Amino acid sequence: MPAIGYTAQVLAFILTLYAIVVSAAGAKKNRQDLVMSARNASLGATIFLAIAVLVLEYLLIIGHYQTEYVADVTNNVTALFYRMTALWASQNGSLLFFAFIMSIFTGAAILRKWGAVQNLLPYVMAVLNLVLVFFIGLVVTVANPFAQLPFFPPDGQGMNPMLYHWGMIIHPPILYIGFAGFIVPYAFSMAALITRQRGDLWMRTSRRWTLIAWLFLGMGLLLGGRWAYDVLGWGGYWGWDAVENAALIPWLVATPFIHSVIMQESRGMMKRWNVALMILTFSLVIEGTFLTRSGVIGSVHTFAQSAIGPLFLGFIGIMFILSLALFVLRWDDLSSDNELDSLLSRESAFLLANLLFIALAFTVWWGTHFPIISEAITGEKIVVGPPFFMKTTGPLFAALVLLMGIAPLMPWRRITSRKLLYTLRWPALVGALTAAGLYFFTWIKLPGALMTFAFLAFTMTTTLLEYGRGINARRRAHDENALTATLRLTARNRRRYGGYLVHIGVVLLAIGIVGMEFYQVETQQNIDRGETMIVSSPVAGTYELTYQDLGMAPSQPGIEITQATLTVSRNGQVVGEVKPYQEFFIRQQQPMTIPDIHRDFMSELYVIIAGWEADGSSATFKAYINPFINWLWLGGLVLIFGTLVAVWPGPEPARRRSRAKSKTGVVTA
Amino acid sequence: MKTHILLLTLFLLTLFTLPVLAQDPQGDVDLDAVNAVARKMNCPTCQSLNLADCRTQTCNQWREQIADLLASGMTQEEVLDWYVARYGEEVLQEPPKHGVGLYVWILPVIGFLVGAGWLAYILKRWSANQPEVAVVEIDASPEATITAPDDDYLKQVEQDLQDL
Repeated sequence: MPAIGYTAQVLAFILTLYAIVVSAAGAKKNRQDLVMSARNASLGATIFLAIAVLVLEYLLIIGHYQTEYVADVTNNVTALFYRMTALWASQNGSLLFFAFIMSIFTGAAILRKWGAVQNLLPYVMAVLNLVLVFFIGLVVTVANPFAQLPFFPPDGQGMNPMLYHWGMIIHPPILYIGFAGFIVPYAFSMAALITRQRGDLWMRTSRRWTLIAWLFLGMGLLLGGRWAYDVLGWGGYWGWDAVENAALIPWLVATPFIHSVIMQESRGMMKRWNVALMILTFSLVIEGTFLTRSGVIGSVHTFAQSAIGPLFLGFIGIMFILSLALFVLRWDDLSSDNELDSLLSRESAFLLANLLFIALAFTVWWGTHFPIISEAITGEKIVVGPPFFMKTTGPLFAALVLLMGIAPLMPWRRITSRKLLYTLRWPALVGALTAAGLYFFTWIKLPGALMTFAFLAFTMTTTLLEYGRGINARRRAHDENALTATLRLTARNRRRYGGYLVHIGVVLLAIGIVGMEFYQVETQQNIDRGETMIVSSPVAGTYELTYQDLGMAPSQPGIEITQATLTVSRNGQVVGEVKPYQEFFIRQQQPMTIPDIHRDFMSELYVIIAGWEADGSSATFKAYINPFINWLWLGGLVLIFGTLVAVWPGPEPARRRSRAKSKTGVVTA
Repeated sequence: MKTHILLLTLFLLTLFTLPVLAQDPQGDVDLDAVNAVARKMNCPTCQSLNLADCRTQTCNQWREQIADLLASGMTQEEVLDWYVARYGEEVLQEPPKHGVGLYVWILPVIGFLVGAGWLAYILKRWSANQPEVAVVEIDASPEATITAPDDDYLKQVEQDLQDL
């Protein structure tokens, strides 16, 4: 059975190589039959990778421990569900899985209706397979998940205990989809460069793919945060850990890309910049996989240490240099159609947003890589912890939030400063009133928090005003009620209003982040049975936690659970119970502290057990009050929904054509 | 000799991986004060967590040591200095703002300034190329719209004419 899996991998590898060579030859000689042959080979590779994945799943499910990977990530007590998800629990399996997801994207891209961009197909195909062949090459050679042990062990090691959580089960596939998805727009950009396409056809064609990849990358980040919050037991959602950053950095580059694409489409500007951003995004995606998989930076996530590091680095280097060389060769083809009309215009706002995003990406990249760089150069390993990232990125994020409020009100080409100030008067007033109101009537007094909330209120007002303007126009023109007008407005212009929904999501999410960063409260106390500890915060009042009991709780085999029970009173009234526990993974000899959370929309009480006397007579608890954390998750959902609205195929192109036709009719008449 | 090393390794391994089955809770220690110090330090075994959040045995021992140091009358700053003197600045979460560590702080700032300078240069160059006539407000009146025609609209019309 393992032999079948390995053979399938090898066949996929050969077919991918074939597809590269033959599609390049087909393009050069302009022979459609060769292109079709390459297309079939490429689709065949997808199928063989699917077979390899299925075989590995089968081996995991039956517990074929002679297969080294199976023995590493499962054992006799692993439940069926976790056996199945063990496919991406460790390096070799997850590399195969990543190659498979990437091949689904290459397959889907190849199967799309090519129509007007038929001439790009062989080039796109060659680039797709060039990237894919590297990953298949890894699992065929140095990271073979089907490698066999010389004996058949009676039992396996079992999965890393941190991975037993729904968030960890779906987080990797979603992140992989986000990462792998960028291969399509990247291949299109390269194909456009090779064929000297001057227009924005490559971007328009791959726009939806880009947004889908961006969406999944964002969801992957959110789910990772949720997993950390629910399982890791340090009261937060983001630790600025190297592997988290590895996924954030491409997102920080892809986000300005999906914005400045609009600028190229509307104004014919930023052509070079957009190609550069796409090259950068994809290089960072591959580098992110490298950071995650090579173990180059020690972190909670990096359970992989192996020889694939140099190969990865070589591949990234070659890919980056080739892309860059092509970019420089085509520099003159990518000159701008239009010049900037005014310093005050949506164009300049977009440029500023680009600067802020790239500065953020660079800062996070630099901080993440600094420990290795400083160690390589000076021999001294400097640790760059969360305080660095918070201090450096905080102001940049705040500036972006403000810009997100101003940019939509700026028209293309130019606006006078007088008119801009006039347009901004209501949002600015709401922002100022919000800060004043919070200061005088609530417990929020910190200048940083007040300023950020003012920015957020400002941006929210702008965005809602944009919606309001559109809705009113529709109501007047079509005599619709507000709800119909909202729905139709959004449906007719999904990209724009979906984008605004995403902005609203970001505002809500930021409220959560500000609450957590400025006003999280924590305390750790050792109390005897029957004793009470107090934690209080202005957002929630005073919680009293009374330690009732400690005992073993039922659990899956191989895990010992010690659970404490505490009653929770809020401002003197009993409101419930929390049962934080520690899971001890016997085989791995590893503890996990799982929090219990008393949930409330405006704040959450988050309790973990940090230690105890053997007889349970006393125990140590850590309690956090997390203000506005639910706004973060809610904002995440709105962000996802907004992106779906923008991505969803709509009647827009047809409508635009008919409108354009009628205009043409007027002109010809 | 070999057995000694083996035993020592085993001992260290068990030390690092032992569960927190019986952390010795010290009755009247102010754990929040300990955490205030620990939060600024790195977990010595794993790199990405701070000492206050880490639950391994080693970190528990370090926190107990911090509690002892605080109990001996040291201030939080003095405790941090004590650790830096022993283990170097690697124990701190925040990279130092001098020596090699300075680069981690300074380069993003330089990068941002260079980027901002470049942006200013581009904006200036682009807007300097504008002919004088272009400084007409497009939204002022219908006449103004004619003097500054909408490129996209024209492009669309041209394309549709070709399509016909």
